[in-house]
Amino acid sequence: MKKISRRSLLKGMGVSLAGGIFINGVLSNSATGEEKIMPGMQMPLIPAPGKTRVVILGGGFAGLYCATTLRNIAPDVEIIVVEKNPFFVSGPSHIDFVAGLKHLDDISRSYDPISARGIKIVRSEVIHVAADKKYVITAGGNIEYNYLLISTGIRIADEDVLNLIEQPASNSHAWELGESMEMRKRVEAFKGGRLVLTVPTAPFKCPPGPYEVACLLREQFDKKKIKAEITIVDANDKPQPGPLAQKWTGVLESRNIKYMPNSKVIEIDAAGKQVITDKGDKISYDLVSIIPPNKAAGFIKDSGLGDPFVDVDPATFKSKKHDSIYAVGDCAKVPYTKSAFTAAIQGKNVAYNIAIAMGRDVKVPDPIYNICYPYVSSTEALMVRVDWDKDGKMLKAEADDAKKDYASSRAVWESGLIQGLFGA
Amino acid sequence: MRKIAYCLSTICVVFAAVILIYCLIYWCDTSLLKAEGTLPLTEVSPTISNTEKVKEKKVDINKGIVAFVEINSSAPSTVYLMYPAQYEKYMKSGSPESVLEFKDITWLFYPIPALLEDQTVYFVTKGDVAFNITYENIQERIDRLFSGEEQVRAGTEMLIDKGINVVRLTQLIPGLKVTFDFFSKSEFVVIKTIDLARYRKGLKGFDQLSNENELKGSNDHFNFTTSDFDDRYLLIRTENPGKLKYIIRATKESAESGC
Repeated sequence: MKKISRRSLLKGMGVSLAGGIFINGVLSNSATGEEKIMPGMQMPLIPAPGKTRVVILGGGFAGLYCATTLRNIAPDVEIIVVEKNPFFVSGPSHIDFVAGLKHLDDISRSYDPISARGIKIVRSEVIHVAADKKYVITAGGNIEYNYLLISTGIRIADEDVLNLIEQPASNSHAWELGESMEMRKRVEAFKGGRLVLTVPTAPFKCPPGPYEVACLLREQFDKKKIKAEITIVDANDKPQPGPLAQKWTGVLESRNIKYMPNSKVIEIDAAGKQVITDKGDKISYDLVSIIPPNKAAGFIKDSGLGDPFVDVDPATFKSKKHDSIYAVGDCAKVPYTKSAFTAAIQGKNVAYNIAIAMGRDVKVPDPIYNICYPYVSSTEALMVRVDWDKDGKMLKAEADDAKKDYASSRAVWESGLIQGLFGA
Repeated sequence: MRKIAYCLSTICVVFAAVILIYCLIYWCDTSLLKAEGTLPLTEVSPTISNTEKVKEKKVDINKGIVAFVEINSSAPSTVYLMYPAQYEKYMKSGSPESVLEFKDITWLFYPIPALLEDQTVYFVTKGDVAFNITYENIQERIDRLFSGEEQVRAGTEMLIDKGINVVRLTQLIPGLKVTFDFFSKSEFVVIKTIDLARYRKGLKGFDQLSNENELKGSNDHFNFTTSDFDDRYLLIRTENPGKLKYIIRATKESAESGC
């Protein structure tokens, strides 16, 4: 047997100790839902970049519009999109889906057309961003980057409603695909009674969404002659977005939808079929849809990039802490509405800003604006438009009453967003 | 005398019978309507008491303008804020159900921006209150905010009971400056929603929450700056009833956070 020298032994111990410190140093000790970083995650998932590499976290509208725009204006750059879901789902259509107006095929797309443009789609979940070392740790391993875009959208914070995590089957909502599928089943099985929909405190994704769901379900139930008492329990002091409150209160009154403002749901009692508000009110239900608070993925806070949203300059979307990191869409701390439309524009804009940072000769992108057509029924929608200047200061805003034309515009609006990425 | 007594008793019997028949008809009608689904399944809310002084104030705001409505009251009052559709319903039913309510307030400072269109709101108040309304151009106000000016965003003064009171602080975004003034030195802690839920459930007490949270103290004045979008609640423990006032100010950072 070969003798181990004292020098070798000390060297080996030093290496082990250093390795242990390294692994412990990147262990995540944070909140519910975060995974610990296992040694396997330290291995490269993709080899080190041979050319300028842009890694995009999140394959929603914002991330994909950045990827496809960058592919056009910087064709030589390597682009990798990290996405945890196996296919794309259009956010706005979750509302149509739960109300039975669309099927899954209508609202989902394969990522193949994106890959066909020379954009790598990596299916994995982000665990941490080692910003100082310029790599991302995913469940499948490390990915190094030259530029990083974070566009991971919102995270539904179930942990902020007491008992919700322990009783997940008690709830469903239209803010995530899995929950939407469950909510649709429950809506189809609903035979009548009390439907309670809750709204979290702003900001949340798709501000008119909860009220749209209420209106569409009222229409569905009336059509099927199902007697339903629909109540919206709203953590906000008025329907959102705030500037539409006057229109929304009129719409909700006309549809006999009860509205409870300034009432935040803080607990669910699934056995007793009631939700409890911060005022102590207990509201009984036969079917409940709690939308928990909308936050951002935990790795953003854990990686020191913001709390909970990534801290960025609203003009360039560049992180205020790291020059090579950008963030757009619902996960970024920006004054723009959390909507699919602004996410798409932000995605395009940030592609130009990243290209400028690379030294490419491209135009400075136009400022952000939002246009939205909130449903008041399956055939009528409101219209709202907001424009901001390049620094994120609001310039102008307008709204219009519900019209059939706007429901058609909504269809065109969303299909345009999808076709811009997938071609059909 | 006997005849008079007989007449009176007959009248009483007839009157009672009429009342009974009316109640029977109303009960039948209500039951039928409920069965048809025309009436809500829940009970009708109580109306505003006719014995209290009720005042109404209509506020019209042109598009592009924000109205700051300041309400002062010498005694704790209740204020309801209604949009036109809600006000119409209130006028028919007498019930302020489902509208924004501020209870036991002696001062309120509340903004109503007309960003997208002309706005009309109605304030319905119980108690003796005085209104003071100022108007500003929204764009000019935003410009001043972005140039660094601090602006009062909202505020309330309310009566609190002795013991532990809970006051919700909303709507919070990063960069807001929150100031409290208490009528006397009191113990307080500022907590997040999940802790409020645990407190209400009896899972955590005031002292434990105080140990676990950073925003706390024992004083007659307190201020902090918000760092995130989370709702917060002030738990205040006091020996005697008295007034609590809080003011929320917007800053350039809060303007960049948006909502």
